[in-house]
Amino acid sequence: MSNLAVWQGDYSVGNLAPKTFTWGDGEISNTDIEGNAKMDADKLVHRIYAPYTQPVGTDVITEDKIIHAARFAGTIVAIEFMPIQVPTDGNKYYFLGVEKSTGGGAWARIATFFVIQTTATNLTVLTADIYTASYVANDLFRVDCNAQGTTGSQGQGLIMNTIFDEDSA
Amino acid sequence: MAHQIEGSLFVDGDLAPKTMSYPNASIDNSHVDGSSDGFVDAATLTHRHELTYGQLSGVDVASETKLLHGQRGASSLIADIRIFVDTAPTGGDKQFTVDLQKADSSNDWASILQEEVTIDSTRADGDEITPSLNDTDFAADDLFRVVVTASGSTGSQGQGFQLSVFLDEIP
Repeated sequence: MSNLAVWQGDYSVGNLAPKTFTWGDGEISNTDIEGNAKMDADKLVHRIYAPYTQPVGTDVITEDKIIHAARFAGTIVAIEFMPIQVPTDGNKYYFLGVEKSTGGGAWARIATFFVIQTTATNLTVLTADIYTASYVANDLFRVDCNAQGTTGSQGQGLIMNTIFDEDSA
Repeated sequence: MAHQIEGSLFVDGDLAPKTMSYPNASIDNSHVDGSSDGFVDAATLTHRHELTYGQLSGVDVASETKLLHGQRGASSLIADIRIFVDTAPTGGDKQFTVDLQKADSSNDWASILQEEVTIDSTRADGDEITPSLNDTDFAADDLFRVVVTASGSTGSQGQGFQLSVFLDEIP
């Protein structure tokens, strides 16, 4: 018998136990996976939300804060920002963005910064343009927020999410 | 009766075995349906949470105790803990310690580190510290908190640090 067998049409059998099996792309769906599979975390690319917030009802202040320490290499999916109350009636504004340090090196911007002036709109999601999405293990990420101006009312409250897809090993 | 096929089998149609013993590690990411119909349920996966706690760069580290996480899932384990120091203490006896503690339903807090981490003037800016654990397995409703204690009177206190706890939680 030839070592190549071809059946035309459907084929139903009892248990099939191939030594190897070639899956078709996209063949496996949620319903194919046992509900109690508890797939190991080490087998997944993890989507990590690193939030940065300043409180509602309080003027935005200047500060730098580390938001994520990369355990493994990964890709930055998005940086999304929403001002709660934007500045009004003067020249006060603030700008903020995400910076990265590799191997203890200098902090450098990884994406466009958000500049929030009186012309901005409350509760509107803004998205940064990412310069380089990929990163390596042990990279550090921080938010650099700067409040500026002397007249009018400063913005109050903000939330920014930096979203990472990070390897498990 | 078992039948054996020596070599490869190509089926030009649907293959519908009653049961199938899949070879280990035969499924890769590309085999999983990427459409919304195929999304894998969150309850089917072990989730890796990165619990973070930090103090601001450019500001002296201050004593603080803060809750980090209340476990919802049936069980979990800590895969890794890392502490990154932005600016280390210098020139005197100022230092700060970082401890990670757990409480179960009895609400008795106990360290889960083999020893709390001390950040003093022997550390360097940008140091990464990976403390060892004395407890890695946790249960539903366990609480985690970080305890930071700043001390000393001479020199410059450290400024800015980040604690990351990578927790694998089984739903």
